[in-house]
Amino acid sequence: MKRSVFIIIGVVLIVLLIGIWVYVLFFGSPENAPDNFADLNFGDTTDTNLPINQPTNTEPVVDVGGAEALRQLTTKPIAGYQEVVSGGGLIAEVLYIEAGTGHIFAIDTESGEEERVSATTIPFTQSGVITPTGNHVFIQALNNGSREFLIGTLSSTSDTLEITKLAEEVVDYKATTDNTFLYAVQGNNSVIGKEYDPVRHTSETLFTIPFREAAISWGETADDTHYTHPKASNRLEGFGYKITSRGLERLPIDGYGFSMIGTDDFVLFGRQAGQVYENGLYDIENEEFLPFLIETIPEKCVFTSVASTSIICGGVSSGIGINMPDVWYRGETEFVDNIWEIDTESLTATVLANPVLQSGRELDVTTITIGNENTIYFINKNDQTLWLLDTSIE
Amino acid sequence: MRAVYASIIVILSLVASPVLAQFDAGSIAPQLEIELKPPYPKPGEEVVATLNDYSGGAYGASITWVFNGRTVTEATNQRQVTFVAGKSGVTESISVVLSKPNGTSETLRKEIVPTYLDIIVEPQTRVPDFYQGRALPSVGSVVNATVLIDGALGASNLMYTWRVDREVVNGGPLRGGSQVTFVAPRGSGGVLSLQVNRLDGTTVANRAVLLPTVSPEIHFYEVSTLFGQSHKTVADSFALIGNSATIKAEPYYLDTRVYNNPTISEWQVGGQDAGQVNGSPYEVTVQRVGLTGASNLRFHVRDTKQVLQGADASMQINF
Repeated sequence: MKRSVFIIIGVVLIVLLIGIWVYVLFFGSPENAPDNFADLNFGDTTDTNLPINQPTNTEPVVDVGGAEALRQLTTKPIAGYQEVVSGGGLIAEVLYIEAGTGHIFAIDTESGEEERVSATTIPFTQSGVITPTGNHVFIQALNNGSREFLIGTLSSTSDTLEITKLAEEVVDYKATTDNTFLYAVQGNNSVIGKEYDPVRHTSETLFTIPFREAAISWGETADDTHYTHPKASNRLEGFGYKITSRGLERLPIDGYGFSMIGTDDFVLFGRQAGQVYENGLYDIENEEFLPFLIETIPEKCVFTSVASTSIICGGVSSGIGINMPDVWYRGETEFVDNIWEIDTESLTATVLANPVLQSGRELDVTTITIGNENTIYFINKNDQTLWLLDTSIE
Repeated sequence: MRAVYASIIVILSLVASPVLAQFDAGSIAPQLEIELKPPYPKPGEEVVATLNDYSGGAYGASITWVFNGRTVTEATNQRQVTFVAGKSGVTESISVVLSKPNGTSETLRKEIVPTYLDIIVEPQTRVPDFYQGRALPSVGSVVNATVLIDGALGASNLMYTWRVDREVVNGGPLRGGSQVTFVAPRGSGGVLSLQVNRLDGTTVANRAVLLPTVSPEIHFYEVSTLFGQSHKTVADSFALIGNSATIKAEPYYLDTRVYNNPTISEWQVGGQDAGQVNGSPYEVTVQRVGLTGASNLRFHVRDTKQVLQGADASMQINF
């Protein structure tokens, strides 16, 4: 073939590629929207307002292994997490469940490397918990708009999750330190608390609560003390109960917007008192009320241990508005939290972290847990990302 | 004729006897009594005991209050005393000794069994899965109420009289009726009250709580196709950054029956009906067309039979 033919073909190809590039540049977006798209018909609007409240670029830089005390572990929303500790008591990894997909990832907190340990997709995963060994997960997802609850077993040889479907309408659940799951199901006029053994795939009834709208503050194991109260609403009265083998034992704490968490020694509660929202500690042994030094919602706190010597909370020093906790539950209002430690013996409060100063981010703490090596984990409700606070770093 | 008159008088007296029966001694307020406020206190509650003397029988008498066998010295010669009720189920007594000028004395006594009577209101209205709180009643919605007495479901050998405002639920007292279902009252709310009696008619306790009735409300949330629904509401305006966004309208406090089968559920964009939406009627995907601007997104859900069972809300989309 002649040299000129090669040149002509080359020129034609270049012109063709330029043409495609120009077409994609100016006519690249699809002309026909799918049927389920509502055409905004923006052409008809006479509103000349410019966009407002444009979010600034707050895409975080994830530096898991950094030297900062406060670190963001994920950039994507998560449904649940668990610190997994090795035999020597060192943190081996942090597992998390990705929201929406149900994929499970492991973060090496030393190197910062992330590995997907389960590639099994569970569509519309909403929330989940993982056992401390990291072997089993309990996942809540949507299936055709209805909730379903799955028990998963992670494999050490593959990235496939072995799934067992729980045929019960679960309303609350938690992983225990015994590597089982505590969960509650609604009966006709009651809530039944159960324990699920993910190895034997058996469940055992633990207690019955004689009303349906129950929130449960679970103990660390099935044998620990559990508490319950009617789900909080600032327009309806709530009451605190300790769950015992004989039934419910009424605690002398109640009120509108009432919610609580507790251990054998203390109950931390929040409630409306007149036009303000207040927190308090109830000393169970001494049957006395103690002041709580910060303002928070009990669901933003965790007791450091069964000994209950201190409580870690996301909270503010003052200024919680009215209509709590409903507006926070709805996501209408958000906290700009500090991380606090409240000593239940000396009744002092210490700021462990100021996220705005330390990371430049406003964090709304939820699902907070205590780790093994001076670590505190929590989810930022604003974007459902996972965070770590290392209290050993100044 | 005299016999006829006598018969009429006898018959009339018999007819009148039920009326007379209403004036037995038990139904007349005693002239000298101890009144408690509240009459059936819960444990730890402050109680005010008042000596009511409608006859003047306590005139000139020295008054001594005795609580659980201990004289309350600071209340000597006072007609009121305040004390704190003790533990649940433990019987306590409050007495007042009237030592009269003529040397006689009279003792009045009242027993109290502090009891927790918890009325748990469980409205059958809809809130989203992620919402950790309790739903609220809306007009015409079904409400369940349960009473726990000292933490236990009310016993089956007691009589329960539930009232919503002045109307007795289920027509009258119910034996073992510790759980009832009723329809939320109209207006902004009412009072739900309960009286618990033993089978012999004596009262165990009574209680009344405010029962709010709210209007259903809608809040908008952004839904990520990959990661699911955000738990933060979209504020009054929403910045459409990409080419499209999915918005979910979450009705709060809408009767669950209406939520599951709404007569009206419509989205409007810029004041125009967005037409039939595929999939969930509560979700819509909006797509950017043009360069910049703003438009209004509105959602309306309602039951045409119960028009108060509905809500609408709107937000501005900036793009």
